[in-house]
Amino acid sequence: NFAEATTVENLLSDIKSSLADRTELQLIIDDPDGDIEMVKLAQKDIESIDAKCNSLIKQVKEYLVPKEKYDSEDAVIEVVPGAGGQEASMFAEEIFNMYIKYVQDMGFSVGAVNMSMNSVGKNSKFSSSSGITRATAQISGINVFGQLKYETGVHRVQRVPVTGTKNDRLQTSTCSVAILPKPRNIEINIPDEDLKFEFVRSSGAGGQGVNTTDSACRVTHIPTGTIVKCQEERSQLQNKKRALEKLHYILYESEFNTITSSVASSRKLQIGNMNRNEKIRTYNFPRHMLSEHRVKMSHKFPSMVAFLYG
Amino acid sequence: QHLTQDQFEELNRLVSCRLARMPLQYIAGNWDFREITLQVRPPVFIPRPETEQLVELVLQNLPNENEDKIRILEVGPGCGNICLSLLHERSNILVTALERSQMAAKLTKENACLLNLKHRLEVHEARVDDTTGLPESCSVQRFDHFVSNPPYVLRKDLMSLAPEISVFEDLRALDGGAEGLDVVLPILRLAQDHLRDGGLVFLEVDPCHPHILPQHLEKSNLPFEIREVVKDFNDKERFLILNKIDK
Repeated sequence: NFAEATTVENLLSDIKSSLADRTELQLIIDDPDGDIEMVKLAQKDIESIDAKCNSLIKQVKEYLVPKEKYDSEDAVIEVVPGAGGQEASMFAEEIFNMYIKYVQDMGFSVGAVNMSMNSVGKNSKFSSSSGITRATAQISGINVFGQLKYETGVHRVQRVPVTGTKNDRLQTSTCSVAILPKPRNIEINIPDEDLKFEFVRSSGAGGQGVNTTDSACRVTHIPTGTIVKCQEERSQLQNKKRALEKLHYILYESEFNTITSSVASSRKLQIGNMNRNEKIRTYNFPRHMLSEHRVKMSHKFPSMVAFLYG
Repeated sequence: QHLTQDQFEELNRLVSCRLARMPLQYIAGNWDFREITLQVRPPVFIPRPETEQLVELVLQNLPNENEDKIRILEVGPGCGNICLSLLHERSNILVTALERSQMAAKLTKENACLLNLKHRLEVHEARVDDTTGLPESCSVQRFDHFVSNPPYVLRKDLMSLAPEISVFEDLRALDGGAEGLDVVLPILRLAQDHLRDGGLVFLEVDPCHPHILPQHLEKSNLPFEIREVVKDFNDKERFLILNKIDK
């Protein structure tokens, strides 16, 4: 958009003038007859110009990378345990709770938390739960999806299961995290030509000669063939309004499902078959290490447990 | 869940009413019309769903809501469904209503109070026929538009009305005479003197009227022409919009 284009233009001209300054300074440094003090000053200035240029270039990059369609929407998070039995269920629960705290720390609000608890298995002394079979929550705020979308994928944990005895070996289990956009502003426009209204017909001439309490209204949305009937109200106008409201909602839901299913199919691509090999991140407890596989970084955490608990 | 003795007796009473063919609206005591709820009582005529469209037609033909007051005359408000809907849906409308039935006039005023609209409505007990003009007590003597759902049933059709109607409702609200025009024509005569130039007359009528009215207008020397005929949801020609003819 125009505002962004202007900003990018301004950034680019800043970069250009900085580079021009840099060239001049370089000339001073390269001058064999130059004053030593001047050269030192020039070198210092070049350092600060380089730093400034790098930051400007970074800003330009951000503007040039096109914004994704759903970045500004709210999101739904879904965590499902993968391979690894009860240990996976428990890990999934920990990951889910971690994310809930994380998004709250980011200033987002959490709603509609739905956790299906695992009913089988022995409990550990650390937790009275044996994990989840699935958990979802709705997260709302500003640019939620854009901030969270990179969490999607298979998370892998390597640790001695908390349910086991001291002799149990290191176990690897996985859970999948899916972040889906929850579109808010779906615009449904229904022009009059697309609608056909029908009301209850009376026999004969109708009008004053007939008394009826049935003012039911049926509306057909011609393009989609959706039919909605309403007879709850006592006036024809109110039944008509209600029918239109219902129709509006049906069309909205259908649009919503289209959007989320197109994202969900890309989700399937993201998560794959959820076996232990398709991981994006590994939490290794014994070595206190968190590895992010996509950007190939590893980070040491003194206390993995504390990290997961926020 | 069992009913108490009082509830049981009341239910019995209501069922007896219905078995006696009392219209459901009278049993309920009130009914909805467009966006408002109206008290209804025998023998005052119960609003029909078609008439909701008459109100819609009037609203469609008014300029967008602004400061200017629109003065409308209604003939035969009954329980007040037309005038009170107009008043409820537009804040710049003022209505003068002429009603021949004392009970209907009373009910219209009652509903106006309940809906907080009485300050923009004037109800006069008066009959509209060829001998009387507009009552002098009316504070407004010239109107922007006329609207009416007058008695328009042809006398021959009056015989075949369902008992709900013929036993419980005031037949004077239905009987339009031999050709169903006994009230329509006097309304137009009233409009001849009290409707502004450029004003419109909105009527609900019998489907035969768009075809037989023109010759009556000529015969009675009424300077009106049918500008538009509108069908109702049963696909019957139900509504007429008329305007004065320039001389």
